[in-house]
Parts: sequence; C-alpha cells; structure tokens
Amino acid sequence: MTDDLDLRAARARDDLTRAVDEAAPVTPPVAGVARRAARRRAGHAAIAVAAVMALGAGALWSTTDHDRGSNIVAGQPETTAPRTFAGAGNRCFRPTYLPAGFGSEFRPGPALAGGPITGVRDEVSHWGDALRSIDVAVADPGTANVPVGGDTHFAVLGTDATAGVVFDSGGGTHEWVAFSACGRSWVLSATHTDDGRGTPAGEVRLVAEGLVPGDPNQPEPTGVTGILFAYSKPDPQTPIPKHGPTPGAGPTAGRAKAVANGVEVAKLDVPDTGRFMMSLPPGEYDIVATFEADDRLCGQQRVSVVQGRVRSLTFTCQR
Amino acid sequence: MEAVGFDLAGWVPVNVDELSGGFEALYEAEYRPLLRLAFAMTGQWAVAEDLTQEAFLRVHQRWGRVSRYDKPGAWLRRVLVNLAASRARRLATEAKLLARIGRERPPAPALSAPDGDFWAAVRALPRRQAQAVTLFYLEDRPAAEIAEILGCAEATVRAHLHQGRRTLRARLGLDSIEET
Repeated sequence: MTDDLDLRAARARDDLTRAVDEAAPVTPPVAGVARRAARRRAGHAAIAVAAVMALGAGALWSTTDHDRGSNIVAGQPETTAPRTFAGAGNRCFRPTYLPAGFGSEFRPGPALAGGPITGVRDEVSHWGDALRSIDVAVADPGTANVPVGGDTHFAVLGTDATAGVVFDSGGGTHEWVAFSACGRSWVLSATHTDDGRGTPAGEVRLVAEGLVPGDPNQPEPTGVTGILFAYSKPDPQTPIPKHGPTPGAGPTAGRAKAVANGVEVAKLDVPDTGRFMMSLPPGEYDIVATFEADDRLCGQQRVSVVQGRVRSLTFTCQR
Repeated sequence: MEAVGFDLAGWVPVNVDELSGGFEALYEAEYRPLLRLAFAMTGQWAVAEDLTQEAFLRVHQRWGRVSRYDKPGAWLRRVLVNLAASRARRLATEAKLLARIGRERPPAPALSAPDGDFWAAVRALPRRQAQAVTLFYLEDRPAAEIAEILGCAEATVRAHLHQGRRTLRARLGLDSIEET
C-alpha cells in the first residue's frame, strides 16, 4: 500500500541521495581506509573524549613548567622571533599568534569549545582559555569538512597533504596553504557563536596562518593527563536546576599516583583545578586518584602509555 | 564459515564472490550507499563520513574473514548501525555530563537535504524503530533483510516498522491509514 508517508519517504530518499551526490561526487580513494588501518595498527589509540570534552576546558598542564617568558602576546601577532613552547606537547608546529586570553600552553586532549569534531580524531590537543579553545587534531583527508547550521558555527581549517582548504563558516570556503607537519595532516577547529561566545572564525584563521614548523628534536610528551571531578550525591529534597551548574559539582583537588606491577612509580598532588599531567615511560599502569583530606578513593584506571602519546583520563569522585 | 550472529541466506546487495577486486570492489560498490545510510542516521555530514570510514576500517581489519562471507554488505551495515548507536549513547552520556556542569553542547549542524524534516523525524524515533525505518525507506529493504542486518526476528522488524510508521505519520502530520 502506498500512502502519503511512503510518498514523503520516497521524496526524502531522493533528496538525501541528491545531497550526498552533491557533497561527495566522487568516492574517496580506498587508500584512506588503509592509512587509517595502519595508524590504528601502530597503536594510535583514539582518545576517549566525551567526559574530557565536558570537563577539560581549563589548564591541563598543572604539573608542567609553563613558560611565562613567552614573546607571544595573546591577541596580537608576534613581533619577534617565535619561541619554542617548553613542554608544549607537539613538536610538529607552534603558533606565532593566539587570541586574547589564550594561554600559550599547548595542552593535550580535547577541550569543550572544540568538542564537536574531536570525537572522531585520533589525536587532539588545544590552546584555550577557561571557556574557549582551538583544537588541533590529526585528520584523515576527506573528512575535514564540517557542515554549518544553526546558531553555532565551526571554523575549520582543514588541509591534507596535497591541497589546503579553509572551511570557514562565516565566509564560505577559502583557499589555504597545506598544513602538514611531521608527515601528518592536521585540522584546526574552534567553535564560535553569534552571541560572541567562542572563538571568532577570523581568529582561528590567524592562528592557522601563524603556525610555523616546530622543533623535531623536542621530545614528544609521554604519559597521562587527567581531571578529578567531584560531585555530591543529590539531596532528594533539593531540586537540581535545569540550567546552570549543579551545586557542589566541579573539579577538585586530590592526589594521583601511577602503579606499575604493584609498585608505585609516580605520585603527585592535584591542585584545585582538578587537572594533572604525569610524564611516564611507555608501559602499563594503574592510575589511582584520591581526593579530600582522607585520601578517599576517587577511581582507578588501567592505561597503556605509548611513546609520544598523552592519554586523557577522567575521574568522577562522589563526595 | 565463522558465525556472525545472523543468517546471511537470501541476501542480495553485494556478493563478494562476484566482485573481482575484493575489498576495493566492496568499497567502490558500497561506500556511497553506506554514506547515505550514515547521513540519514546521524544527520551530520562529517560524522557520516567518519562512521562510514570506520565501518570500512572494521571490515578491512577483518577482511580475511569477512571476505569469505556470502554477503559482506550485511555485515558492513550492521557495523555501521552499531557504530551509530554507540555514538548516540556516547552523546547522551556527554549531554548529561555537560548538563551537570551547566554547559550545553553546541547544537548539531542541520541536515542539508531539502527534506531533512523527514529524516530528523526518523532519528527521533526509538533506536530500533529508527534503524528499521531507515533501512526500509532509504534502502528499500524488505523486513527479512532488515532483520538480518539488525540481528532480530522478522516479526520484530515488522512491529518496529508498524510502530515507527504510525509515529512518523503523527509527527509529520500525515493522514493516518490503517495498515494491514
């Protein structure tokens, strides 16, 4: 039986087929699958992002040496020789321009503001401030385009090894020089909104245009980064606000330690920001997080640390 | 043949034995249909591309085994459907976390297809209904094939289709027709 629904569905199917044909007129080369498989085999595990996306908007490098002597002036293009970010987290490139308010530290892991694309990337790092970020992620050629819609726009600067294209939600598509470093293709992205939150697309472009090659001799960081997030058990008598932060929930101070083969190999205090970074040689570890004065157990996670990779962890602690 | 959890008998779309180039041929034949399916299920182009790539990657990693299947296209679709479902669950968890700390996830980019309302309504159905309805309307598959892909009984698929279509009619403001 054919009815209105079937007719509507047939039209929708035709429309969708046409839209796909227009968006991807050519099937991408199968080599992309092989490349992706090779990377997967090489142990570039995807970063689990959901929780960290929600929580990782602040500084993650609480235990690293922040280079406060930077000659980069946030919000202004660099005027003197670019510096090397000490412990910046990526030896492939470094920025010569960052938006006002952005910390110069290059942090491992995705951040909230750049979240939407980070879930599909193998490696993500970012610069940012407390609310916004610009994410840098390894990209598969052919997947760098991000559609735009609604009130939120994505400024995505996507390139592959052969051609560079800027996907700028504000101004359409622009030509761009290839952004390929250390033999990889990268994508920069950030979110910006009509109400002024987030990073303006133009600023993201400035960051991309200011990227210069990094120091290949600089060792890539290896270890884990994480956040301790505490919340109180809801009081059944107290309504939880629909909007706004949940009372009593947020990052918390504590301790974190790494245990290998039953032996404690590293330990550090986690500050009030809840974020920590632990440099570890490659291997298998149990990361144990505790919080509050009595060192109550917050969680324990087993991680496999790979050379040149920083694993992101989230610990949720109930008060 | 190694069990894959569902009966492959009667499957039609892609028979790897008829394809001379193995994985490449499967990729050429199924990439775009799979991309359409992913696009309909997620409504986001970049995500659809990524899920499609990921589904092919899973097949690529198991090609030695999958190539012996009679109908790898069914396996491919099941992988894609499961990937999309996993993603939806992850987004739901993430939304709860964001709500807990008082933040919102940016709204998903809109489907650019002219009749995106229809697919948005399909995606709003319960998960199994949405999967069945998508395969039914997008790929024009009979219930038996949908059951093979989803790994459930044909009668279950018929029930999902019946309920899903009834809900769609209501949500799209279409006339209700008594189905047989």
